[in-house]
Amino acid sequence: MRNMFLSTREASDLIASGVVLLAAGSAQALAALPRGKWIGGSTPYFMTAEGGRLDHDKVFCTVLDNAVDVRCAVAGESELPSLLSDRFGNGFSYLLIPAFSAVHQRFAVDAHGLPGLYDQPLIGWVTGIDLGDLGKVKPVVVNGMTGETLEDKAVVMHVALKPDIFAEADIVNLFTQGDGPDLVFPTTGFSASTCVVDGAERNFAEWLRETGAGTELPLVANYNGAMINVAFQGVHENKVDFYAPVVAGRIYRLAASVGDYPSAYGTYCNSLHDAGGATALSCNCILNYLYASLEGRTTGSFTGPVTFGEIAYILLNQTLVRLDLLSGNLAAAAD
Amino acid sequence: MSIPSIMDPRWRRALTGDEPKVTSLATRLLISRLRDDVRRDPSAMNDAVSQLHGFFSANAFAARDLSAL
Repeated sequence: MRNMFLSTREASDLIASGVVLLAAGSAQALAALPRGKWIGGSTPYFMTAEGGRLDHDKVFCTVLDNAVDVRCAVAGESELPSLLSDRFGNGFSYLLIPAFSAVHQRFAVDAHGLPGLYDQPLIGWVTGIDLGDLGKVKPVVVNGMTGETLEDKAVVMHVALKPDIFAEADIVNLFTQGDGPDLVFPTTGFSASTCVVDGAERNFAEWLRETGAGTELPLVANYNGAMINVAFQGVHENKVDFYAPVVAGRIYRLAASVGDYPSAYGTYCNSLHDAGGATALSCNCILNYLYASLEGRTTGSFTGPVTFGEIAYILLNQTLVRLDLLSGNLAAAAD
Repeated sequence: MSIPSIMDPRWRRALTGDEPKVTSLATRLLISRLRDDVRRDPSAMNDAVSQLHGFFSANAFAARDLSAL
């Protein structure tokens, strides 16, 4: 895969050459691109080889040289159950969802139950806007095959790979569970009033205020060794809002302290330099961009869009998602 | 690496015994979800085993997790 941060003219030439491409850029920049074998999502924030950057004019492009075929589809809230039904035999799917849309909310809650979810890698991200435009404009996705720009539907590209190439999705997460109390929520959702704290029912907003817990560090759940974050959106008088749903019955804890967030993230990213990020398809969270002050700083060799939510099978927060293409023989591996 | 038969006891053990120390993200997320399903409804075991077996058959990258089951 080739990652490039390009002018719209350069990206247009690339699309016109017939390559399969994934794009990220402001809605205006995406609108300047011609039809072709691409899908894209809105964000003006990027991790480039030179560091984090806010840019409304350029587009971040990943060319999928190993793609042998693609199918693109758009899906509203009610069409999510069949989202993955048109995949190829060997490949992966790339999903873009507009932030704040009904399909975003629905995917966040229901992704775990999508038929065949784990049969093939699914990655992607939640599209965004300039934070200065919150409440004024809506995030979009673009189906480059048809030229459609959508605020209320997701777009997915199913990618077929050569038989000797297979994809693997993974996450890069700074956070682990701290040694505080177990936190269990009675209902699944983007907001919570009640939480069971080490067995005692409490008002969660009140408990957070009492303990003085900051909201820059997320809640972390342990999914059989995978640390999955849920980021705080806001703590109100009697309820707490999240950027992804907490799942009823699952055990969360506040993340272990990382000390100074920007320097901890910088140290962590330096350790990623040999982790193959330059050839990976990746995205990183706007909260890491903000809290770790990533403008002008790099995240190892990883480049890509900065997003309002990350997708690696399920919706994630405050996480870097990566997809790598590996050489191997699928049939031999499964014998 | 060959995939054990769907009747192999390792599949059930992965869903009810100690958490297997697998490393790939997809394996971790799937086993976590299936263990929750089986904990809530033990009659879901056969379906869960079928999903787990199908996952390993379909995903070459997961082969490295087989030895942890």
